[in-house]
Amino acid sequence: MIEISGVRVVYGPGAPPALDDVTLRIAAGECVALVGPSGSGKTTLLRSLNGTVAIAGGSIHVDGVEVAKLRGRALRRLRARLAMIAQQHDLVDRLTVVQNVMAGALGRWSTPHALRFLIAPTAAELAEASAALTAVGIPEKLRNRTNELSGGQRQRVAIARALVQHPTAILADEPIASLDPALGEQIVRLLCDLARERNLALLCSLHQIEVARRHFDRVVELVGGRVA
Amino acid sequence: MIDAFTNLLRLVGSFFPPDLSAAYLRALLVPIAQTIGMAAAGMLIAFVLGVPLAVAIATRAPGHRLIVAVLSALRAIPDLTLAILAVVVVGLGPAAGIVALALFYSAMVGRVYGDLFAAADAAPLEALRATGASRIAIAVYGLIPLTLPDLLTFGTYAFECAMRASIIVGAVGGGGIGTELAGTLSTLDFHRTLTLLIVLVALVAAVDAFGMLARRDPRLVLLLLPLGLISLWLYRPQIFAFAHAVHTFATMFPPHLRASQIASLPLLIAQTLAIAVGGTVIGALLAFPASLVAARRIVPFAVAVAVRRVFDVARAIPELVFGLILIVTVGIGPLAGALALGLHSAGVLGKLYAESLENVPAAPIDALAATGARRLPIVAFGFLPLALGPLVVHTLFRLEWNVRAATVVGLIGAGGIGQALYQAQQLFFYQQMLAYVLVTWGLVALSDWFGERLRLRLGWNFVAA
Amino acid sequence: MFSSRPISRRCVLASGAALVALSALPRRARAATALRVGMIPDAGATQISIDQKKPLRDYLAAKLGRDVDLVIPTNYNATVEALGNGSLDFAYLGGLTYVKAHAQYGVVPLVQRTSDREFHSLFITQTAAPINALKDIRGKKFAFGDINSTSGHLMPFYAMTQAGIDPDKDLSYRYTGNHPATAKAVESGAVDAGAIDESVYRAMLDGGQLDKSKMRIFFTTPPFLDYVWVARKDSAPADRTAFAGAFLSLHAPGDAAVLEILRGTSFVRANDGEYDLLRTIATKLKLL
Repeated sequence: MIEISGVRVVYGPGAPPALDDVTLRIAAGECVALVGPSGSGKTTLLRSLNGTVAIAGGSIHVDGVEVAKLRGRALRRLRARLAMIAQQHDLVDRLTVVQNVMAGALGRWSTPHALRFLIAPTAAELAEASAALTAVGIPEKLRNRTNELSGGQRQRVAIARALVQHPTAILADEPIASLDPALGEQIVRLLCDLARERNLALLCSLHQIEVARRHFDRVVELVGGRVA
Repeated sequence: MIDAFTNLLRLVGSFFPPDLSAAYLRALLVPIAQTIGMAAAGMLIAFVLGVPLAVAIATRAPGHRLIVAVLSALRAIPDLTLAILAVVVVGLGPAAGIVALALFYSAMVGRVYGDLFAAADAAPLEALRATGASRIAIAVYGLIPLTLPDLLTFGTYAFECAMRASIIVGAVGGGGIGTELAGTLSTLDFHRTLTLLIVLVALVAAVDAFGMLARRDPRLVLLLLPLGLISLWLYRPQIFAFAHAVHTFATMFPPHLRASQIASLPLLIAQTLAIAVGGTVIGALLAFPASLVAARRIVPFAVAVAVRRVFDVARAIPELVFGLILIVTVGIGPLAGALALGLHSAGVLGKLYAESLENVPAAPIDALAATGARRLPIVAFGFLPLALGPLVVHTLFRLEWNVRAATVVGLIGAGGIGQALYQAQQLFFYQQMLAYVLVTWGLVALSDWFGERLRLRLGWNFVAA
Repeated sequence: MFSSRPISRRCVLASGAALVALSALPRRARAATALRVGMIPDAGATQISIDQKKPLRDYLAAKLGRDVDLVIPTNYNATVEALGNGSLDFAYLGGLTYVKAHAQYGVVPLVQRTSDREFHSLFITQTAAPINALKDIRGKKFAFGDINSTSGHLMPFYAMTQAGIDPDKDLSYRYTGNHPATAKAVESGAVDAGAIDESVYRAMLDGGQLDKSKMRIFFTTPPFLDYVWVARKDSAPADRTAFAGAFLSLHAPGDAAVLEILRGTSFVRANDGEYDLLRTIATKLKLL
């Protein structure tokens, strides 16, 4: 459950606000699309949710916890519960698909655990990766190197990584911007189905307003940093 | 183990405090001026000779293949060997150092600038050619302006190398800080050795700073012209013993080795390679963890900058100087040689590794950070796999360089082919010396060729490390 | 491309200052008429040590009526080549280097210290080491100095062969490059034993650069002929005479400062014939 109320973000003194008095509530299992022209504040809003962008006013609560108050370990815990999916460039090419998927668990793993996994993953860890890849429809890619995947497959891996995070919400920033329309719609449908099935809040920015209307519960439009 | 550690501490302690007395600093003015002068004059000649050669290579002038072959051959002879040979022609003193540096760096400038020119944007050059411009006009109006930033970057790097190399040739009697360093070490006067190391680091830092300024305003480079000319005049050779040199060089032919020496060649080559590989491994092992705390995207800015200063110091001190220190303090042999190469390599690799880590794409790192991952897992899952290619290539480049450097530290007693070369020279067995020079040349040329092939296969290539 | 920003005044001033500083240095023009005298590099050359040798330079300049430049090359080969091509007029050489320089470039022996006529080289080890005679170094790690050194390599090597030891087969040895490094290698235990010039060894003990309690001499070679001052082949006879005369007329206590630099008490004439034994040994050991 995400509650955004009256949020304002300003990049540098004198600049026009990137977000101005944005208020939005997303319940668990609810799919919300965020649309609007480039520069309207979609990315800023998504990034302010996990504390990557500092807010200048208003408040953001995730599961009742105020994001702006979190530091260090507590902030990392919050980020572990908010899975981010960006355009298709955010996977590490040289790692295997399994390793990229299980990177979603880094937020709850200790450092030794993380390093041990790179050298000797356990059967349970492999099973978890396999389950996540099955959920996104590419179980056969488990052993592949990531740079061998197509654009759509890469986004499926990114979603699998998000699932491994056991998140309460998924924040997707233009996840289909560089995919062809038919493939993009498949990915959007997959995201929405997974969110509903697992009772996750989904906030997803998009350019394609028809796609948003077809699949999401609600469409929110941002214009010049304000909800239109 | 504890004993070894206390010995090490005592050893390091014996260099402190540096001798900063006014009398010594005053006495150092002449060697410092000689070192700067050697580097400036040597580089002046190197640019005057090297740039036209580079233009000839890039414009495929008649005979450019021959030029490339000769320059590669020249680059494969260690600068220390060149310096000793230069003594035969121009006598003792800085002039010998200037000749050695000029030869070595003409080859380097010619080759590298040739590559840079060849990689220049073709369209404007075609337009120039279409006007019927001469080679010189193409160079002045096309090649040089088009590639100026790269020329300056490499030029500064070469000048920095020349400053360090002038220390190396100094160590065989070229004069300057190198001669002074060798002197303080052989009299075990470590306090003054430390003073000289500080001076050396400061000199290299000054060249670095000058390079930064020159990249902003390239006309500053012109200031080196009077400096180089004055140095050339001050340190001009007292003699040009051409007849004598021809006679001496004639005694080197034909190259010859005794049967027992030929039999020991494989061992000597193996030793040299072992020093090179060992040095690279030591350097990489030291540099790798250190580079993680020198990358500004991984650790706080202040920490990264502090670690980089340490790299700068290690980079400023040439392998040969580390070698001289280690041989006097730790003992002689291939281990000291490998350590010497390793310490210098650690500085070079540390800087390059840190830069590679900083240059990885942002998106995957942001994605990892967004999972709430800790710092070290982000490094292991993100920075390392993303930077692996450049890390490997830098290491291979260093290995290639270290094969050459291994022959140089061999000259001061680390063993291998370099030591055999030096001993033959010291005993005036010039036919043997030439044979060893040829072997060294073959070894270095082979490792250069092999390295180039390997890098091409990995799909990575840079002009200079 | 060239930026339009003018070169800052500060840079111009700084480079100007650097140039003035450079041109204020001792001019090489003087060297054309000065006699160039090379010292041996065995004890190391530093700017300070050249400055400390100023009394010697002044003494020679006064006696010869010429400017004198003292040069200390860092290796033997460079010294000899400089005598060969005329960039040194006189030089101080070790015995073996002299023999080679004489064979190569016909250098002329002039004078030597009385002590050079009865020189020894010392075999040293650590106090507690089980090495008490030459035969005990079989199978041990051993350090020679420079390969071109008479007292650090040639004579000790010869002494071993005389004692029935073949260094190439019976022990593992290295060249440290100079005498102090040999002493340090023995002191630190990097090698089991080493051979060293007696005057350098004693100077290091006296100067506290070696721990007296750690070091022990276990063999001293028979006396041999070592260091000598030479002139290049085509130097002017008048210069040679004057140079030799300057050394022969050195006497304590009036010339104590100069004699101390030369680490000697008095000088005698040297002649080539006396180096025949050294020559034979060097040839036998394939060093010539």
